[in-house]
Amino acid sequence: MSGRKKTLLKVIILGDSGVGKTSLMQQFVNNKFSHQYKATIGADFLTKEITIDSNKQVTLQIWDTAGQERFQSLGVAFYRGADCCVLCYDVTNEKSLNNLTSWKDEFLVQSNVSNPQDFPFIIIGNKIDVDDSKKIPSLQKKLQNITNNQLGGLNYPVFETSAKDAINVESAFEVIAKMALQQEELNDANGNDVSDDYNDAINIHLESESSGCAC
Amino acid sequence: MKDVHPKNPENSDQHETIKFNTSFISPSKLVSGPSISPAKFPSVPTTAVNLENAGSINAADLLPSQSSHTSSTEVPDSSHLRVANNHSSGRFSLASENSYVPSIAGLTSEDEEDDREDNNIETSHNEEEDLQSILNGLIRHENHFNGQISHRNSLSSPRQEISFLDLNIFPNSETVQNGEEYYNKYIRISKDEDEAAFVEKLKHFFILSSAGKPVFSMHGADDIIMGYMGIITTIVSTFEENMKEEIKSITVGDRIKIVAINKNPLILVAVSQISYEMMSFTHNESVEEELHPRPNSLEDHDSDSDDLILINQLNTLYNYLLSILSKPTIEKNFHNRMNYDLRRVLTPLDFHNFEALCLKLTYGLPLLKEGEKISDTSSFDFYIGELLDSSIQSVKIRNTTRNRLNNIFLSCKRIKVKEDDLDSEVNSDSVSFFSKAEDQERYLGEDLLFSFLTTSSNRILSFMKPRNHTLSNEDLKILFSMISSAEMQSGDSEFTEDLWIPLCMPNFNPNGFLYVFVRKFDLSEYVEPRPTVSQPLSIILISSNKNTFFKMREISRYIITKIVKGENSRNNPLSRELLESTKLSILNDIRVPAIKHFIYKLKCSNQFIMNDMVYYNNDRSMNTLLQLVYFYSILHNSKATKIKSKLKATYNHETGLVRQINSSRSESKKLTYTRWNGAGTSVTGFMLSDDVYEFYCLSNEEIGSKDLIANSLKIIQWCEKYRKRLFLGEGVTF
Repeated sequence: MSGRKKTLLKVIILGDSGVGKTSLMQQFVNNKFSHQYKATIGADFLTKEITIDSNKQVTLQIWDTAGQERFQSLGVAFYRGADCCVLCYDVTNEKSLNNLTSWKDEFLVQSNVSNPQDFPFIIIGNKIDVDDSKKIPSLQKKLQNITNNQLGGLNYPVFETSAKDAINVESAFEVIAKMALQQEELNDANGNDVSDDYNDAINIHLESESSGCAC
Repeated sequence: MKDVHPKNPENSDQHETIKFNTSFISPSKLVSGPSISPAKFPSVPTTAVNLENAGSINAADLLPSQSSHTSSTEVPDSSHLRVANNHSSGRFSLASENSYVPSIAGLTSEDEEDDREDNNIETSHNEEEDLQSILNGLIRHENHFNGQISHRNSLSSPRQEISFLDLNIFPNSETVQNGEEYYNKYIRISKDEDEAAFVEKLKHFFILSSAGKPVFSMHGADDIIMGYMGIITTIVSTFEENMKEEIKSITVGDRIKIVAINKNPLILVAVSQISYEMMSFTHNESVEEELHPRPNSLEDHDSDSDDLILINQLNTLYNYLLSILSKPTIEKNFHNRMNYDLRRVLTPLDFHNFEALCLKLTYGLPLLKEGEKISDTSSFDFYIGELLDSSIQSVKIRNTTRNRLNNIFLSCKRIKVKEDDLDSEVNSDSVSFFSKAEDQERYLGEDLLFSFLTTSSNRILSFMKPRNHTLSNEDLKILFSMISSAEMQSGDSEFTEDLWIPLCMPNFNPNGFLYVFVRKFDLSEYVEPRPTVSQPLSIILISSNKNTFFKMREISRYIITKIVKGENSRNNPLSRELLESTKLSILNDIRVPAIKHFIYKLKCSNQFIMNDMVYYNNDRSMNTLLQLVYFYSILHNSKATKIKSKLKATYNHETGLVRQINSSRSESKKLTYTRWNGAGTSVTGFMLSDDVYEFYCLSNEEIGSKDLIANSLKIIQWCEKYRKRLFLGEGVTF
């Protein structure tokens, strides 16, 4: 019955303003990097097709959102029906790291996903190309604190990337796609596509005297 | 083509209109100007003159009772009424409760109908004169503005065939060499990754989930449309969440219209650059009036249901989705999974059908393969049906023949069979009480709900329905589209394959399926001597029970036997009537050579007839088709003018049944006259309607107002005279 084999996944990219969400996406989709910073207004949408496990065709529909506070009112539309979510921070900006939890919470509230504990997230720490001196001091420890926090922790795969030098970007997106695909297959196992048998016959009430006895 | 219009009856009940860049070049709001509004089309190819505007010049002598101040904003008369469309009262169903209003009370036999002819000619004399004088006024008025018309080719060139490009039906006509190039560039469905080509297309349809995952797009590869999906989702949900209301439409200047309908969990969007699809928003409305919409008055409802054309198109697409999936299926799939990708349950055939629908709805064009030519007019028929508010087309056969076919259907419901005789396994739990009473016998057709006998072009010859259920015209259209596409899939119609299609009829019941049996057969095979022309017919049997395929097949065999029996024993066998019906050239029969195409719609049953498009230009080309679609869209969507009192007075002097009926008719008589110029020739369009009918015709010859009126009335009278043959009637009810 299925018309296409390709799976379409909606990927949301979240994180503070300026952490490099758009750059990550541009690097991943177009293999381009621009030094100029241009704030995203509202959102950008891009697609990329990738192959996972050497045989699964996946189309990623990437929703790159604006990090700026003033665009947060657009929330629900972006988050609704997402398949996975990428939480980004800037390895030189401690505040952006600390905000990851609230980005996640914001997402879960707005997207209203059915089982939040299983929802696929990954964390990307961007800008690892910059000089070590500019990075957050004792980053790994702080990151650990955030991810392993027992109360609402962000126990998700972490990738350190450079959108500028194209380090780790591709593999991060591959992992998120894999996770989303797994979740998708799990969902399918639970609730199959409902189109099975055209069994919803209509109960027609023909009055008894009109049901064929026309003598 | 809309005219300068003083009223601003903003239709706010359903369709909140948001306008960005409302850059109307606003001419004076007084109506005494030409009806051409230059803001709409870059170069004005046509002159649409409606009586309404002409009225402000000529009303004094032509329509004495009508206010000559049409320019005032509060003209109390209803001269701004458009063709009555009955949008507000919902769509007609095939077996409408209304019966035909006979022209003469008690007239039943067709022989009697013949006697009426003299009468009619006499009584219509006054009417003819009046209409003619009105029309003369219009034409005088129009000539006034002829000077403004710019032609692609020079005026002095000899008469030649007009290309649709000459008429500037679509934007950018001047950028291409010929129609084919235009079609390829702006119209043809293309799934390319070329975004520049994508945005050139005149029309777009998108279906997407509320989460922004695409379900269907008329044009463009996934890569291109994905971004648009995001933008649409954002806009739609911003309205929903932040403004607590649904977005209806966006107009960009006067060039582009975007209409959305929200059928949670799906969103459907149409984007159009086609003038005849967004006619009604081209009034000169000021912004203040936008902000303070007037309360809806009934008489303006139709004329200003701005987005209705595109909304109807979107609903047709949505109904298609419902018909293959049913509403609960769609909802279940998205339940708790807003990320669901509905494309997974759609087949390549569904996408093909969507594309075909898009072209039919917009242009009346079929979905053609590369280099393929138009082979039949079914897409045009479909378009006209949609244009005339889901009207369906009839076939001319004698009333007695129709009754005979109806009775055959009825007799199907009475066939009793022994249960053993059935090939099918019988559900013991569904044994009806009949079989208990009559020991092992039961009705073969107990689950049969609706039966149709149709021609190959999906026109209904006769039908049967349960007393308390009907199928709407919209549902019938879905049914026929589905059958056509299923037949197309099964390759050459060899008449051997029976179809069994589960189908949800959205208007009948969106929550479940009916099961459609289709048997095609060639009537000519049963006739001696065998005619050279094949006469394919389809028997469509709709059952409420999924397991009744074999019963339905049995019934279809019975029906064929019965129909064939009549073929050799009667003087007027069905096969011959059908043959004559397809050959039928009404325009030659009644000698109205100047009129090349007409449509007559009987309002009470919402059915129409029209002559074959081939008489218009001696072809069935895309060029002709696009022109007819355009002309009729303009004629139908233009505001028509009510013809008042003078006619009525005339009729009031008369007595007798005919006059009485005519007199009541004249209450709502309306008329529109339009003329299009291009390539040195012109096309005249004329619309006349009253409570009973809508009549549209086209002439591409020089035709005077006298002939135009006389010929039109002749056709109308002919249609009335043969009403019982031309229209389907109420079928038969069990």
